[in-house]
Amino acid sequence: MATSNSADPATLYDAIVIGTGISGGWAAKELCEQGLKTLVLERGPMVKHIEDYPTATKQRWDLEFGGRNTPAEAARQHKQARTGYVTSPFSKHWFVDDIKHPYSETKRFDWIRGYHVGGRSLTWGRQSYRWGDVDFTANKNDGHGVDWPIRYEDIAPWYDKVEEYIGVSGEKLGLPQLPDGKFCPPMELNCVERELQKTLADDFADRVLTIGRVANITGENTRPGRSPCQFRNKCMAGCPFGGYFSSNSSTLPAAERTGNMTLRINSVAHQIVYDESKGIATGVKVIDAQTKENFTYRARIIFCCASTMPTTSILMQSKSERFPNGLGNDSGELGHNVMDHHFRTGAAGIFDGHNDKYYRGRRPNGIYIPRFRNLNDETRQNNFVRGYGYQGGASRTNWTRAIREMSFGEQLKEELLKPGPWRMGLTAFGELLPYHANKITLDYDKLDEWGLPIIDFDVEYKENELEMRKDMQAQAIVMLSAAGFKDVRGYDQGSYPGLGIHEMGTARMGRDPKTSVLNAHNQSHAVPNVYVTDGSCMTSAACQNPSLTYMAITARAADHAAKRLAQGEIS
Amino acid sequence: MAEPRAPPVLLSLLASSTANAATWKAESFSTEVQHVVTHLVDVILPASATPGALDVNVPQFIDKLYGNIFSTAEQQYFSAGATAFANRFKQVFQQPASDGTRDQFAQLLGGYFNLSTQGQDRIFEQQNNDLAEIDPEERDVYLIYKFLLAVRQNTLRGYFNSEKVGKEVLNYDPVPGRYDGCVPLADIGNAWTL
Repeated sequence: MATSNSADPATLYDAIVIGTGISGGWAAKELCEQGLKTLVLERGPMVKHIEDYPTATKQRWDLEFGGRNTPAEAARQHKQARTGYVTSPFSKHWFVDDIKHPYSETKRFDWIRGYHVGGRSLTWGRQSYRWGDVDFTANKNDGHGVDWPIRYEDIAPWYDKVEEYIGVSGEKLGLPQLPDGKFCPPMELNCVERELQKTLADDFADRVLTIGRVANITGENTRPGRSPCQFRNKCMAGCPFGGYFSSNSSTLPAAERTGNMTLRINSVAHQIVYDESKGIATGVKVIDAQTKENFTYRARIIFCCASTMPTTSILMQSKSERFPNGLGNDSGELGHNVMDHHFRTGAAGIFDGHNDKYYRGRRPNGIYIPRFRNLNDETRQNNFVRGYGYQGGASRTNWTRAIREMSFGEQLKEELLKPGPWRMGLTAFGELLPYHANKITLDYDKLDEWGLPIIDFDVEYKENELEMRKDMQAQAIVMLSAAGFKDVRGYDQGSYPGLGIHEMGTARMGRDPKTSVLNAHNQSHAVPNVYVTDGSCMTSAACQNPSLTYMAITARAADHAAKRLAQGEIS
Repeated sequence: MAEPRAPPVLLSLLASSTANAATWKAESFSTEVQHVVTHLVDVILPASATPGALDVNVPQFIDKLYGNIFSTAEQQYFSAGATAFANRFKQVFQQPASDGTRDQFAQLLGGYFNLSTQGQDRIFEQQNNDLAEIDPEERDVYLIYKFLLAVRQNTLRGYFNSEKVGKEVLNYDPVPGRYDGCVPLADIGNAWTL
């Protein structure tokens, strides 16, 4: 992809897109393909598909120190390291330096960020699940948060479009709470996962186990510039085959092919300019991350896709006489209702059998057990509302099974060269309700190196989540035990908001401008040429991984914006 | 960066060496620690029909980890444990650890590692505590286990993550191209390289 820093402050662009991650990439593609001259702003450096993936074909022995970080490296990514996996030398270059990009925590919040072209679309887990009507009606039905201004039928055609374009492999199930999509062939379950699948089919009328729905191309399918998944399971390093979807491999090249995109890197967007006489936004203020120069770029519409917290921070920093508390913040909800998914609880066990079986290839995907709680009267729970789904998988243990032992000698070595027993783990991902009290604020007393206020997090799980977690662990134990697993152990490692890397909700959509920030088409209620389509727009969190929904919502909003612009409804 | 590769002649020297293991220059280890670690590594994963830990330069790997990857606390535990282990060696064999043979190190290591499951669990539990929390009379043994367990764990890491074992001993398939979920183990053989 050509890097163009030839953005021109004198030009009136049709659109500015802030951010190049999973939402920004889709906004750029859709707006450019509709013929809009679009300036795309990215705060970090360029990452070109294939050529800028430094570890994509590296093995552990190719990395110094066997792929472990030095204490000095670890100190600079202290918060990023809280996930336990992202700061591995295979992917640490895709995650921010916590010292250069500070934030503060009234309560612990694990904010895991990628500041570069492609954002976290390079490193995402690729699990791609539709939300169902049970999710879009949840707030209305149980009274938490505000009602979504859209329903499943509004978003369904956009799910179709996104799935077909990015390539999602999966199996159709016909479940209302997890609608089927346009799928490439499903990946295979292994022998032990099939055992649990059979137990659920035979003995649990409300539950089903399926292979994960994942944004990796399978079968004979290809996409422009992308070939099928090669089953290396090294997605997070960046895929030279384009086997999985990222902005870098897919949407940004598509936007570039139109000739309508100008991509400006090292561009820290920090304010949207509001023209009170016209009642619209007129541009975006940017600081060059390297030179610290200030620029203002102008456009007729603005798409905020900087990811949940940065988008919200930009809106909060966009103060004017009309909007003293942040652009479009008449409701006072901007920065509130922070959501994520809570997880890191479930169970694992050993399967005593299939010892003469193994698998071939490294599947970048696991199993999924869709939500089965609180879907109807029969599944109603007394202790919590909403629900959770399980992700996990079975594999044969490797040599690390002997780490916590004192065995030694030739026999140990020969034994560890063979695959060990089958082990299966289930981890539940649960819904976090939208609580007004869970919020971010800006701290103007602590500025980053660009002189911008840092974000403070004040977010916690409450009783509904803590009650749900008990069931998340208990049902994992029940299912594995029923399938005959041995040594089944439940666990709850404790989860902190942010660790799910599914931040949502700080500029929510809603029907009423008094209680929400955005309307049904992701326009700011009060500033209709500002669209917000990343995770900040979400009105509830469901329990499914949210990226597919961000993409569908973005494509829908971009179509809306382009049509309004063409019809002259946006000046 | 790849691990430094020793020429085959040197590898066979290392594999058969019993007296003087110092055929490579350590970055961080003293001569004595280098000698002790080299023999322990050989005892933990010896050469047989398949390569041993010395064939893939595991002592050099642990020396690099010690100097570059270990935290200050880990370095201190490792170093104090190595000293306590060398002192114990001298008590038992009436000679300096730097002159010890492979058989002597195997005997001493066996004394620490050949424990009942219960005995091992007690040690692992104790290892979770800081030195200050350990009864002064048990501190030498505690430190010796800090050292021996660090050597053992990093021997496994260095061996199974090495290029030679990854490519020639385990099943190496960098671009599988497909996933088959349930195939006879007999068709595969050894475990896959990760």
